[in-house]
Amino acid sequence: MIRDPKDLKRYEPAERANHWVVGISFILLALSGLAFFHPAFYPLTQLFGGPVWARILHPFLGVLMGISFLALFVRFKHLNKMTPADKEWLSRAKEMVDGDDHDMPEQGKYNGGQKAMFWALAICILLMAVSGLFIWRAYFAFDIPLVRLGAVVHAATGAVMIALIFVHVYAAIWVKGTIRAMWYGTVTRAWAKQHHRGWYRQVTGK
Amino acid sequence: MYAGLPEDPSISPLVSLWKGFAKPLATLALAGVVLGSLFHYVTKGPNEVSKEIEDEIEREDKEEAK
Repeated sequence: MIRDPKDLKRYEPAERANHWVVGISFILLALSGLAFFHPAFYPLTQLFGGPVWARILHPFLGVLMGISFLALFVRFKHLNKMTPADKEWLSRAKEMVDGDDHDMPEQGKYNGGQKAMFWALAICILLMAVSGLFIWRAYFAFDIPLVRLGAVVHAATGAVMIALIFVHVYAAIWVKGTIRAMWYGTVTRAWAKQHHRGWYRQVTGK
Repeated sequence: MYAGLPEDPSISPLVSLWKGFAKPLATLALAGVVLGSLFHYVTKGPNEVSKEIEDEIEREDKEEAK
């Protein structure tokens, strides 16, 4: 990859490290969680040393993800407040999806879709954490109806979350020049000007 | 040993709904998201920075260098 000294810094090393702790713990949680979700995915337990280890490790990985996401949430929540421009962006998201994003409303560091994703994931993780405690029966003894409800909420939210994260990863792959922001911390000026013009103006003063 | 168990045990409707109907549906929905993304990439192609903006940046650099 050709790196230009004029590339714009998008993420500090601590922010990237935080993101990847969340990302790696999510992947491990999704793999073990899918194994409990449907028999078709049961062989995934072998990645964790068998079904018993998968069941033991899953909630501890959940605690790791919960804490690391909380840190990410505190870092980025002020950048994810919805503005009228974001709402307009969301109402015209189809143009973006169709690959015709040249006339989209000017966006700051994050666009309306990214902000919606941020809040949706925050709600999902909160639901996962609370429902996860209800079904962590090695350490907690809640009433059976609550355990049943916890299992349903946990699995349903988990399915929604896997879909959301897949869209998050896909969007990063689809919009070329995005993934390097989380590897190296920088993006090209052209990338910033096209996709996040408000942020481009803010950091370059142009 | 079996004291306290119901005489006619039944499965909670919540469990039946989730395991019998919603889980296979959710699995199919997840597969749909994966296939939908692949279809989107194949039909729309990658979202690249436009040549127009690349040229604008290049022009700005040249002007600054003068």
